[in-house]
Amino acid sequence: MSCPMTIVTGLLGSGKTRWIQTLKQKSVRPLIVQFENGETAFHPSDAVLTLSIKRIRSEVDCATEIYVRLLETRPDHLFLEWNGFQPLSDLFMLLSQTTYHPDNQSILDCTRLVSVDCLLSPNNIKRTLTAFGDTPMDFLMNSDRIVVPDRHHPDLKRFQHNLRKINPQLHFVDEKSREFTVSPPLSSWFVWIFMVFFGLLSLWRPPFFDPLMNGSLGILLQAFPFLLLGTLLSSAVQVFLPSDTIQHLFPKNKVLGLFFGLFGGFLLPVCDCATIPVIKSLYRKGVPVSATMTFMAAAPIINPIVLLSTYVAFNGDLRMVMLRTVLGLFIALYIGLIFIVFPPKKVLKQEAYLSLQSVPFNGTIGEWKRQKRWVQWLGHAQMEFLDVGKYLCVAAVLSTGFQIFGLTSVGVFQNMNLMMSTVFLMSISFLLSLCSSSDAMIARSFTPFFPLGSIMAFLVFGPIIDLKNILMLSECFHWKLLLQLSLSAILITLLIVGLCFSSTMELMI
Amino acid sequence: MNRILNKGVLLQSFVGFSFSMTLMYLILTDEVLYYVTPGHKKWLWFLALASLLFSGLSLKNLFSLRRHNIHARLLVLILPMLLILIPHDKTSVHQHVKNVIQPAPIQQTIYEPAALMGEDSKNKVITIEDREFYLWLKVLFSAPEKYDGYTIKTRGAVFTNAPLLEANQFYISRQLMTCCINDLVTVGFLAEKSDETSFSAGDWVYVEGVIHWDPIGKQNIPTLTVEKIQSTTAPKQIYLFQR
Repeated sequence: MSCPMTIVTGLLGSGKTRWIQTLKQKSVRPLIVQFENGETAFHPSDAVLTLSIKRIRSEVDCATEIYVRLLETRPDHLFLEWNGFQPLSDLFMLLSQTTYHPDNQSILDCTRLVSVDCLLSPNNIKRTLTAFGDTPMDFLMNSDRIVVPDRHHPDLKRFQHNLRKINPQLHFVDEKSREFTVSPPLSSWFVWIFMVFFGLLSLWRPPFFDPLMNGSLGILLQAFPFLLLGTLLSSAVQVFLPSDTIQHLFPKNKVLGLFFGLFGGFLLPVCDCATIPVIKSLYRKGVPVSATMTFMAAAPIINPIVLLSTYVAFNGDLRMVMLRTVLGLFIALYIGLIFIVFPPKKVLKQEAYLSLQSVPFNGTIGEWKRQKRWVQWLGHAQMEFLDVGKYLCVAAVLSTGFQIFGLTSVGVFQNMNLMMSTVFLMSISFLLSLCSSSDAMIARSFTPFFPLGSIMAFLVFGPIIDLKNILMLSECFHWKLLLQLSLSAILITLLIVGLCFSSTMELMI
Repeated sequence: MNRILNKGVLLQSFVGFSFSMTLMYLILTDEVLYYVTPGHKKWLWFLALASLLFSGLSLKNLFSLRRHNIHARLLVLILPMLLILIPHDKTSVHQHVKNVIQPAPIQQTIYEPAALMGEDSKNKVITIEDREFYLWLKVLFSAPEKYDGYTIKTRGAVFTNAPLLEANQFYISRQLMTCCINDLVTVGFLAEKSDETSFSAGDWVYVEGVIHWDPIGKQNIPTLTVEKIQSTTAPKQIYLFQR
């Protein structure tokens, strides 16, 4: 026997029973299994098995009862109605249990899963996704179709795109079982365009192909290990540290919190690639956004490795090291203060609330929760590495492209005034996206052409705001926050250069 | 319990394993030095071993009941593998600073010149090993009086793109990497030749010349009066490393 099976899930009152009634019209002898009593009743002639939620604790009992009913009724379609409050993984576990029946079979052995349908409305999406822990992510990841009651809802397009980011294989149907045509999310288009572009380039071999390959690979090989380190740290915070511990330890005074952010930045001896995953975790654990932004701005500038590399690159010139440290600290504090005075209304993107749940890359939520803590930690780090890594890949290719096509050619822009050259070098640091532990050597190579002020701007602005960082931050943070961060960093850098370096207009060499 | 092979997990594990093996190949063959400095090798070992561990851990979920996996995420590992494995010229690179960067004089505490090879003070000859090119350049900048009149024997690429060069001048250059291929800068000795031999930019030459100090712009820089110059091959390790 291989009976087709459809699982219908959704929150209480979402219309699961009504949807099953629509679906079952196509079958002659359906069997409906409900794990709760719905608000809408089925017709008395329908074969309906209702199992109490409490009995689900005994998975084998439930499975046996369903199996026996399957043998008795020999249905042409099995419909399972599952409440969205319960992880879908619990149902899969139940279906995979070997029953007590002498056949020694499970439900999955004698059925064929046709579809998992999830009833979800754009009206309650945010409440659904934020209020019920891991469960909504579980049923979204495991669903094949989203059943939308109102196909003319004004937010439908954004709703579809956000859900497709979680599960790109989702289909959308209305209550009459008509499928919507949804354009794939921009990221999917980008992946395909990128792959086709890359394939064409490798066949055509234009002169910029080899430098593009080498430059992109250089950035990735340099940044990937630090990104992994950052995601391991971030996941350790996420998995091992209870939220209340950090909130308890962290100062209640927001200004004092900024100094904690600075101190944390000094303690983390890694470049900016590693700090971005960490700030996400810190924010998730309740650290104020002002302190996390201070930490993000300070860590890549004032950590010991960066200070040492600046010392070596400038041939032991302590003045450069001191200037970079003081300016870095000042800018980081200023950014933190801006976020205290003007707290952003939206910190995270709407879909980022989903990634706040600790969802493993593979396996169901139920299986993952049964894993040991260190396995959870590594699983979480792996998922986060792949999530943030895609932005790093894009940034590596774009940044190398900018270099190759001459947008960062310093030879053309020599002998500009202080502010012009500062804006120019800040743009270069944004586009190049250099690692903060190596940018000092490049800054050193600029010394014959640019004033000291603009070189310092290059050294303090780039590690905070560059193409790579912005793309990686955009994975989780709202664009308005990124705009506020970028504008704050740009303004304070220009202000400092204008005020402190206007008397050093002469070229250094 | 019913066991269903999760093909997504299998794919994920395979990609992770391949990524790890590709990285190990790159490190063990030293091809990684075309892209990053030797100091990054330990970090890349960390990445390769972590990727191997992730790949193994994924297999724990090989019979997971999860029905959908997001395979597009694996492009994060596939893209670098493609960049490594597609045949290309590893030495072709774009430099945004099109000039020769001269090191400033260094303090003795940073570097100890006595550790360098190739100095024959009796005959006033310095034979510069390929990997010590930049170190010698720094030492010469630090002690111009001491080495004035020495014969320098070295090899480098001809570089003629720098400003303020006269017709008979060129640089014997090498490219110096601080962190990765994107921060390459050109360093080298200025050379003056008196004969008619000509080499194109980028040609590798072996040079013997006597060192003296010439002003170029605002700097006095070590200049070789070329006594012998001949074409040669590029060294096996094409880049110099800052650390």
